[in-house]
Amino acid sequence: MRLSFVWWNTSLSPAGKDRATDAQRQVVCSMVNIILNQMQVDFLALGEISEKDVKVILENCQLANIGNGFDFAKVGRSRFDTGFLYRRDKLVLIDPLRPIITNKGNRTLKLAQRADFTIRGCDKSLHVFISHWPSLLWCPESSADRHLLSIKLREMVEEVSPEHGKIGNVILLGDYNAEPYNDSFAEQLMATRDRVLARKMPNLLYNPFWRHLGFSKPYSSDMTDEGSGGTYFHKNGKITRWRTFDQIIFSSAFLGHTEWHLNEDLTGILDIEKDLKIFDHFPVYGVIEKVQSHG
Amino acid sequence: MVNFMEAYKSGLNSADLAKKNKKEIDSVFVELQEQILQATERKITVTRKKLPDQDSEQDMETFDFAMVGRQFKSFQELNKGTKSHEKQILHWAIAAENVQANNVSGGSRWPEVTNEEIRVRKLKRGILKELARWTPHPAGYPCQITIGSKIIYCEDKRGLERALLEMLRDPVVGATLQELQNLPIPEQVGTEVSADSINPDATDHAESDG
Repeated sequence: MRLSFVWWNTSLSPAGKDRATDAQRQVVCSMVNIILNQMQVDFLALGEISEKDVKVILENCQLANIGNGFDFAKVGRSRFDTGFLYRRDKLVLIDPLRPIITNKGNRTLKLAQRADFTIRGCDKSLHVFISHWPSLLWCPESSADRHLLSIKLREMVEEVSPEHGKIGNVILLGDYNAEPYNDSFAEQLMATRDRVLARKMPNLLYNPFWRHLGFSKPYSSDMTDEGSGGTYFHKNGKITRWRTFDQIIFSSAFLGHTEWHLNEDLTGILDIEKDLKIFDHFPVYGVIEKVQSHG
Repeated sequence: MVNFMEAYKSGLNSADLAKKNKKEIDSVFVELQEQILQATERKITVTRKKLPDQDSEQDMETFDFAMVGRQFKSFQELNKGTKSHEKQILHWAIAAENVQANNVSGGSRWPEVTNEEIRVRKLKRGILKELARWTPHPAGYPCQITIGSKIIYCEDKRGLERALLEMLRDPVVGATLQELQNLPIPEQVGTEVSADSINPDATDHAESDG
């Protein structure tokens, strides 16, 4: 049994503010159909969407046996702009989506939306945290808020874990506006690139997106298609135009502590044809699968 | 050598800071209470209270509270054979109460009746209502307020004040407060606010870190 997860920042409505045209919404609907119906993905989280966008998606996409969780909760002058669609025959949503916020002084930070599932057929709990964190423009890399976001997300992950020092079945996904190597992100969240260490230390999280920091194919003289060099294309970038801001992070539980394992071969960036002026983020995907023990 | 002395001192400092933080949090709730009483002509109080979880609240339906008033002397016997109150699962909440609609007497007159039992009775009569969940922190901050499904971590005093403002502006909370405000006032009851309504957390604080 496999469970596949996709995160896509659609760029339709940042901070939930409607700005998309009908044509752009239709492009997103086509993508949602491809992801859910052709690729048969089990969980699709969407970012930068509004209530209106969701209405269009629900009306125009083929969503038989697909459940959803959206809560555009207001946060100060902004609001949450993330939500998800999921396959009901694979996952059971056990609690409503929970928007989580942290208030520090006069600042409000949107940490994540938490969705709690059980995996159908094996009664296993699964906690998914969907995040869309502020851009570097509003929250620079050196900002204390960036550390606070990671510290708090880490706390929330620990809160849903059954034992101290051992993280449960947790998947974090979203647009963190941080690279996997940023200290404020990797160190505070304890999301490592070292999967051997993550297997030894069940309090660590494993971030497979360390391996997606550059172009997937090595350079060669006869190359015609370069592909993507990250998950986010930033056309005015001076040193690089590519960033790996969109990531899916797995708890150590999926690295050999249970029968459910990360399938890292099936983890990466969906290289889609698109207009990079509007849709500047690529979807990212990850898969976990149940492996029969041979012992 | 392991420096236990340093850790010991640090623990004392943390305890002092936690005390200071909790005092600060109390002051925010005192201010909230004052302003709500003022805005409602001393009708509504908003305080932190320990309330039974919904499941254990249903358990309480087996208990005939009306009998407590009549037969409070034999309360212990009466309680036998019903579900144990001690087994109730309680949670911290931010609750509002119409103290003028309240004719449920407090524990001072009937020492056998605990504040928790009085609260259950008030909840059932609809004069006490939960507005949000409250999750205290041993260090004071970050405390947590859950409004509906939304969880708000409050990292400091201003963060807490802003979360409480958000709670009061919430349409569901607004409707709950409106319902409480519109409750009929029993004639025989004066405007005196019972001890349980004014400062229910004074004793709770001693036993935990609410």
